[in-house]
Parts: sequence; structure tokens; C-alpha cells
Amino acid sequence: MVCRIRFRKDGRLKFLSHLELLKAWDRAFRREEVPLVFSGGFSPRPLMTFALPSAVGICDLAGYMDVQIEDGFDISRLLRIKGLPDGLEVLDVKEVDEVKVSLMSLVHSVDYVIEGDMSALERLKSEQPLPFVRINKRGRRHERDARDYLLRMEWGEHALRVQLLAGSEQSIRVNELLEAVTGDREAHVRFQVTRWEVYDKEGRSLWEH
Amino acid sequence: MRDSTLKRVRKPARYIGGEVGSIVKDRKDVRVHMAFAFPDLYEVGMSHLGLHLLYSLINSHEAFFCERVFAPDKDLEEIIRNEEEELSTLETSTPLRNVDIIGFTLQYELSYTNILNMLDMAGIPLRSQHRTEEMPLIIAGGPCAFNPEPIAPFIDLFVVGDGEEVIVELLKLYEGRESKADFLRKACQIRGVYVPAFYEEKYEEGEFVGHGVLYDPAPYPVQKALVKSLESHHHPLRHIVPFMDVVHDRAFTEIFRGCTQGCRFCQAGMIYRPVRERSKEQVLESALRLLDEGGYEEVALTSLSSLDHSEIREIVEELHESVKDRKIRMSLPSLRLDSFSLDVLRLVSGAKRSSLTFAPEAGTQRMRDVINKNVEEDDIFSSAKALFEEGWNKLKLYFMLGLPTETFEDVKGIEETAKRLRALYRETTGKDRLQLNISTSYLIPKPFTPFQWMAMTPRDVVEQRQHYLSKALRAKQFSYSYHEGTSSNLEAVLARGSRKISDVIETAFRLGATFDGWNDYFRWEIWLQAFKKWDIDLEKELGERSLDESLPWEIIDPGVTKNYLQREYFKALEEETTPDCRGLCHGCGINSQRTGGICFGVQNPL
Ligand code: SF4
Repeated sequence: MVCRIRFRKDGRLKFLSHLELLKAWDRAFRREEVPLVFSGGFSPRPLMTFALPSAVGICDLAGYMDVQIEDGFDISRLLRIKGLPDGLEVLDVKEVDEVKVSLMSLVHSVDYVIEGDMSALERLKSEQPLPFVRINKRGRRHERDARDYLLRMEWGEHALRVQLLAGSEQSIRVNELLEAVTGDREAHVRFQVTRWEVYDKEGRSLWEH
Repeated sequence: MRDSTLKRVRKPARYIGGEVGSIVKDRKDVRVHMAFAFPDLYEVGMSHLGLHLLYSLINSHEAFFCERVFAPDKDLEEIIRNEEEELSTLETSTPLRNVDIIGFTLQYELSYTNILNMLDMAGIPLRSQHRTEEMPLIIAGGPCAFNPEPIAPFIDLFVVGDGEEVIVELLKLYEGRESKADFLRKACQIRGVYVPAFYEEKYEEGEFVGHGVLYDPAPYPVQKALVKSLESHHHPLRHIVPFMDVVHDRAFTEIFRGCTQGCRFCQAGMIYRPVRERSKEQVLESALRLLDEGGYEEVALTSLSSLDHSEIREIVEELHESVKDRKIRMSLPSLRLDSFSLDVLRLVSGAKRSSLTFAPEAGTQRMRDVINKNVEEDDIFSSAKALFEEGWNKLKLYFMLGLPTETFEDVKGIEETAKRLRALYRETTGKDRLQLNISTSYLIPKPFTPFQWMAMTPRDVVEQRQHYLSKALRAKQFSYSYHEGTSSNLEAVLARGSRKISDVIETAFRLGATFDGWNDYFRWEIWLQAFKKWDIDLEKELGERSLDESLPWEIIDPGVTKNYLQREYFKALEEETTPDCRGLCHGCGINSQRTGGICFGVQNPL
């Protein structure tokens, strides 16, 4: 059966790379003796897929993953996994009958909360374009306007909530946005970023699938 | 460490701590606060069994707290040097200079400059004599402590031999100390403890002639610490489970310590005598518990020569039975090419068809007899044939160059071994799919081996031989790689040097040497400059030592006698082998000096 998990990754563990996160889950499941289903081949791997890997250094409150488990397993046990490292938590679990569309292909946009010195982000409030450069696989430079990826903004005193395109056709990384706004490649170092939610094309949370 | 720092460095998972199995204590509640320091990157240090063992042992005592610290990579170092960050412990981010004791592990000589670099980054003076009462006590242990002299001026106290025997006693003594000096005076009475300040090196006409004792009650020579039985000793059932990929990312349990093979080039085989096995029951219990608590995908049964455990077949069979349904791999380091190895290998590897590694060490039987590497020509080829028939096609073979009495014939022997294996593969399988990886390293004549008196073969000679092999092994089935001569030479000097070498190490460090074990970072020209500054004659350092001269490492007594090492030295020159001593004791001395006549549970093997 396929079990869909919504999880949180924050604190120090926001510095895990995607592969490290995968291993952390694999080992947590094994410690808990969850009967995982493995891939075939010489080095069998548990079958886990993620909606959208979050970048190193970003807190994630909207981690989604599908994991295949032997039938008959009581999935509520996943809510009580002992010995998860500090910073990882299972927020919700449910069984999905059949995965028609992969989690990843559902992703359309993402909500981020950016905390830090808001005055550095003033330019966002204007109408000016926010150019940034992206280098494609062939090494060609393309100029883009970050505004084209920006769906929504909500300003607080010390925080900003933005909804950014994140699907397979069009997406922007939050670090690219910060660079475009401040003109500083290292700008992300000074902000705390949290991924709040991941949405599909209709603007529904992925959890509703 | 600050978030902003972690966002700027490569692989930040190295520096975050918080792994399952790591331990945090409230510093208010602990009496002695120690940092276990590994002078290399996290991914190297976390693969080291001694770290997990001592960490768990020390932390099992309520009054003691042991944290970890690793050498930061260059990007983080730069941030620390810019004073935007401090070198601090992994568990509680305590600045390193604020702990009570820093314990460095000495696994390889090429990490010495990293020790200095870590002290320096922490704002701690490099030399013991410049450190004040409030500064941390710097201790060190591990295989390189068997010649502590090249780094003696930097270290307050060495633990020589089995660390788990000594460390708790030391921490207790430290807890009740009146002063550092008082502590050191008492500590030197513990077996296995070497306090450099209580000894001096003596020279006559520039030649080293032995040590003088400056504090009368200090022992001379210093006997290594020895755990008589691993079985009754603390062994952790829980290791720290790393997040990032480390070099050996798996559960590992030590199945015995010591080795009876008697390879003449191998320092570990001499200094860790005698063999002490853990029982099958204990090995299985610990392997399964480590797997359960850690959630690893692989388990390794480690030792210097794992197939020599008296119950290895039973251990492997029973462990295999318990883990086979859980998609857990087993691995055994140090496989040999003989039929027994192959039987065990079949169980271990299951369906996995990756590459297999063997170490024949030399290319001719004559040469293997000289170094006492117990592998027979016939075994190599008959085992290879069996492997090929079973579908294996990737082999890695390790050899050494620059062995004593080595001639061009012996080098050609490596080529011939490779070519015969290729022919054998064709003959056996009718195909041409063999992938043979050949690699050569330099023989480094290490302290407390029968080769300790021998010269290191000059670099140009070995380089010619490497050159020959690179040409001879050009076919598409072969790939050949070799160790660099310059760093091997440096390793030899650091391994065999006296206290004089400490000045060279400090100078090289000041000139920018760190991570000397990493090809990308190693800079030979810096070391040449440092040798020159201190007037050290490299050729002499690498040269032969006479059988009757005093050697700097003789401050340490490893239990194996000089007489035995000399006998083995002469036998090597006679091309005479010494069989595994489980069948017949050869009187290496460890039993008469240390174990009360017992070796492998037998009274008086002599
Ligand atoms: S005392 Fe004898 S049996 Fe024991 S390690 Fe030495 S040679 Fe081997």
C-alpha cells in the first residue's frame, strides 16, 4: 500500500540535503520496524517519493512523501515513531489507494515565509521589474523577471509571505527571488525562510489529494 | 554554530550534530567536560570505531561528558579565521578552548598538521609549555602514539595502547586534581600513559642516543595499556548514526583485536597483540542491537583479519539468517583469496555483484615470503577461477612497491599476476569482461615492525617501477593507480622521527600545510622548506637504521620484544616465512611480558 506522509523538517535538520533526508527517513522507518517495500535489483532501496525536495537551509512545514509499505500495516504507528532526530516530525498520515498522478507532478506553487530585515526587501513593493540571471544546462545565460513567478504577497512587520511558482514548467527558488530583490547573491544567508505550504494548479493544498 | 555560517559552507550536515545516538548533557551537571577531536573531516572521523567506543564509554559515566569535534573544511576555516565563527564542539557548540580536555585521535601521521590547525583555530597555544593552567589539557592516543615523539611538544599526555583501559581512570584522576602538574605526576603512574614533559631526548654529536627521565617516578620505557579481555569490557550497543554519507556508513562491530598473521610490514599486527576475541554470542548481540538501534542498511564485522576469528563461519551464518529478510548487507573487511574466504564470501555478498578487494601485497612468491604475507600462488588463481565462474568480474588488488630486497622481477610479478588473471577470465568465461583494478602503495618502514630498521626505497626507484606498471597495464581490462611518493616519504619521516621533527611540523603548518593526507591539499614544497629551515637531512631520516642504535620510539614498550623483531628482520632477508602463531608460538614476547603467559586462552604457548 502507499502511505502518504506530511512532515516537518526544521531546526538544525533544515541543513540536510535531500539525499540525507531520504536516508534519515529510511533509517527511522527501519528502527521502527516498518515493513517497507523495496525496489528490486542488486541494491534494494525503499520506495519513497517526495513532492518537492526543499533546499538546504530552508525550514519545511509542508514536506510530502509517498512511501510503500506492506499491506496490513497500521499506519497510525507512523505518527508515533520513536527516536526521530530532533527536527523531523510526522504531522499527518493517510493511505492513498492508488497513485494516479505522482506527488511531484501535482506541484504548482509554494508558500514561503521570509523572516528578517524587511527594509531590505522594499523593492518588492514597487512595480519595478526584478531581473535575475539563470544559466541553463548548456551554459547559456537567460535573464528573467522574478515578478513573473510571484503569485501573491502578504507583508508583516518582520515577515513576508510569498507564493511562488514551483511546478515543472515554471519555477523560481526562493534564493533567486532574494537575489533579484537585493542584488546580493548571499542575501539568503541573512533571512530565515520557511516553506509553509505546497499547492496544486487549483490552489489546493497537496494534502487534499 | 550560527545559521548564517551553516548557510555559507559546503555540506553543512557535517557541523550540525543532533544525530540519533549523539548525547547531550547539561554542563552544570558534569565534572569533566571532554572533546574527542578527530583531526580530519567529519565523514572520515565518523567511520572510525574508536570514536564511537570511547564516546559511549565516557558518556556512560554521569560525571563525564564527551563531545565531538572534527577538522572543519577549508571554507569553514576561512570563516573561523575571519573571526565570524568559533571552532566549537558538535553537541553543545561550546568553543573548543572552554572544554577541560581535548583528546586527539592519532590514526595517521599525515593528520598532524590538522591537530595544530585545530588548536590554533581554537586560540590554544600549540606547545604544552605555553599553555596556562586554565587552558584545556591536550591528550592524544591511537596507533601513531606508538611513536609519540614527533608531536610530543604539543601534547600534554599520550595514551598508548588500548584507550578504553585508561581513559576513565584518567578522567577520575583529573576530576580530583589540584593542578595540571599534580595531575600529570599522578597520571604517569597509570600503565599506558606517557607524559612527554617528564622525559628528554639525549644527543651525542648530533646523534640521538636515547631518553633521559626528568621526573624520577615516571616509568621508562612506557608500557602500552592492554585490555586483557574485550568480552568483559564496555562495548557500545548504540553508535552515532550520521545524516550525511560517511566513508563507512554502516553498523560495525569489532570481533577481535590483534592479529596472528605476522605480516612483517604491518604495524597494527604488531602493536595490537595479542589476539583477543569476542565470543560469537556477544558479536551477534552487538551486531543486531546496533542494527536495531541505528536502522542501518549494512553491518560490518571488523578486525585486522576477520576470517581468523575462531567462530567466523558460525557468526556469519547466524547473522545472515537473522538479517536476510531485512535487506541488510553484510561486509567483512580483509578477505583473502583462499577457499575458506570464498565460502564465507558467498554468504556475505548474497546477490550483490559489486567489486571485490584483495591484498596480495606483492607480485611474486619470493617477495611475499620476505614480507611474510601468507598467500599462496595457487590459491590466488584457483580462487579467482571460482569467482569468475560465479559471475564476478570486478576485482581490486592491492600491492606494495619499494619492499625490502625488491627487484625488477618482483615488479614484473605484479604485471604477470594481472595478465594471468585476464587470461584465466577469458578461459573460464569465454568473455573479455574482466575489470581489474591494480593499485600500489609504498612500503613505509614503520616503528615496531621487523622492517623498522630498513630504509625507505628511494622515490626515483619506485617511480620507475610505477612507470613500468602504468605502461604494462594499459589494456582496457586493467586500470592502474598508485600512491604519490612525496606524501609517502613525508608519512615515513613523521612516523619514524624524533622530537626534532616537531619543529618541522610546526613550521610547515605555519607555512600553510594542512590536510596533508588529501592529494588536493598536500603541498610538498612547503615541507621541503620546513626541512631545510631546521636542517633536517631527509635522506638520513628515510635511511637505514643500524640494529644497535637507539630509536626514538623506544620510549614506548609495545610488549613485542626487540629481539623478536630482529629475528623476523633476519628471516625476511633469508626469505624465510613465519607461520600464523595460532599453530605455534614464535615468542614475540607479548605473552611473557603482559598476559601472564596466556595467549588465545592457552597457558604458556612457548
Ligand atoms: S606470544 Fe606467541 S602466540 Fe602470542 S602473539 Fe606472540 S608469537 Fe603469537
